[in-house]
Amino acid sequence: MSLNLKSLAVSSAPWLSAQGDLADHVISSRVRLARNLARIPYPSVANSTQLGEVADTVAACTELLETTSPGRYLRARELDTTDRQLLVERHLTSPDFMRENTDLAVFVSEDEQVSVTVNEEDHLRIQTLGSGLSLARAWASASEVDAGLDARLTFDFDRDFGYLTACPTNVGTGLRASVLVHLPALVLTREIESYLGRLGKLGFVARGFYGEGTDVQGNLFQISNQTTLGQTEEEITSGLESITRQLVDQERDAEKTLLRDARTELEDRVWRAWAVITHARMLNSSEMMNLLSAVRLGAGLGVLPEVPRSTLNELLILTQPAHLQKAGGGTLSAEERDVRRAQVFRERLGGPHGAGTK
Amino acid sequence: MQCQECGSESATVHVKRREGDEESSLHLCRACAQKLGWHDPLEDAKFPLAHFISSMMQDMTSGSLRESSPDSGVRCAECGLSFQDFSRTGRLGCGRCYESFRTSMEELLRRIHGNIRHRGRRPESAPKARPAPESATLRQLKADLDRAVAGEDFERAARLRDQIREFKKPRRESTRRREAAS
Repeated sequence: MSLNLKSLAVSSAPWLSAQGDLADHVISSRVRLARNLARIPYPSVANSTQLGEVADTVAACTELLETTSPGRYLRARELDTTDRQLLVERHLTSPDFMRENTDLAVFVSEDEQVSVTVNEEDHLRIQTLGSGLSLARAWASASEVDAGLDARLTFDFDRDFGYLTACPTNVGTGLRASVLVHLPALVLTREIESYLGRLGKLGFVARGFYGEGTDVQGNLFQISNQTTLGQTEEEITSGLESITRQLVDQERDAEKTLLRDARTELEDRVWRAWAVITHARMLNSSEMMNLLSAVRLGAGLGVLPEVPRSTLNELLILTQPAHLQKAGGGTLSAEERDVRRAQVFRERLGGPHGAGTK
Repeated sequence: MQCQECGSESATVHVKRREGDEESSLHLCRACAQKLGWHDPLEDAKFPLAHFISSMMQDMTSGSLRESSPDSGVRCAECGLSFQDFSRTGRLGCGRCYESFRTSMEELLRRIHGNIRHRGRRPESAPKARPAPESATLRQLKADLDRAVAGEDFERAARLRDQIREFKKPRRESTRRREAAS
């Protein structure tokens, strides 16, 4: 079976399976390594011949990348906007992949745990993705991919500065580790800001759903290391892991406080969200994210009858715009997408009244 | 619309000025707008790092670090990127840029990461890491301190303790600065 974008649009991914440590709050863990080929200018400066050379060089490594999992090398010029956006929505590459640059490419493994984006800000961005809090495993597989490529390619490396990158904020290990974590009670109790402020002092930073420069949606925060130089990869990933554990502890405390001091209000909020998400005929993206957050909170606290967490994770991705369009087989207007999105929720979560199409 | 300053380039920067009740507008090309000091506030928002770098460069060229900032007129020998371009965009052009702007890069990396020495994995082909001179010295100082304490030479121990404290200082200072900037 080879990777097919159309079937991706309607299927789950292992990193959405809600397996692994702290999966009730930590959706996913990710490790990204920035690497550049020696003696070729970085993508922002390189000409199209040089960029083509980089894309071909990595294409020649596809077999090598497939040693851990079979996959496919996709060149941006062979993909339309919806396809590219689909890959971004699935967190297989960054929003930069939407840029008009025909020399962009990405290797994606079939299990979607390994991807390598080519000619984005750096020549290579190796990414590994896993479910729950699984940073050590994500680093181990990123490290394996990196070592495999290192045997074939010559990476830009400075004896003192380490791996060299287009932006000085990535120099050294080139490693950005991140977790996608759901912190609704800390937001409701307004404690979140003081915790996020403290993160900064410890060398970590909180961003939105799709990383740098994107909004926080549905109380989902992407926490990552801020500095990449001076610590080993293991120190960075274990540091983030321990910060994440602390954050989840605080979140659980805040959830207990809510249940104790404002149980009825909390239940009301959760059941209202459930009512809307299982019966609405139109749902826009940001409303959906907020409702899904309340449902996830309610399911986790036992306020709602059990809803599989993996279903909630899947819905988070499968109802993003490009997924709906790809699954629907064509371009949909914003309104058509809202209708389609509500329908997907009724089909997946709704009871006898919810599932109806009328 | 042509630039009102040079008259040749097309105007992309539009400035509205109000003095009392009088409102006037200026239409300039990018280069002239920059020359005249008109500045798009959104540009900094888009590249917070670029803003950080340029303000740091200003620090370096006006402050006591002037002598250690020899890169202002330099171009990278490999890709031709000028140091000015880099401080504007925050992006380097190639690996060689790090060598071309070495002094400034060391200072910049120290401010961003609180460190300038990579301790993580290295490519197979890469030269071995240089032993960090600071930590070697620090180890020596600590060993001396232990010996001085053991030998009850407290005057010497106090001196060594101060030296060790002094030794650790610059790093803590750069970490603080980084926090202030973020």
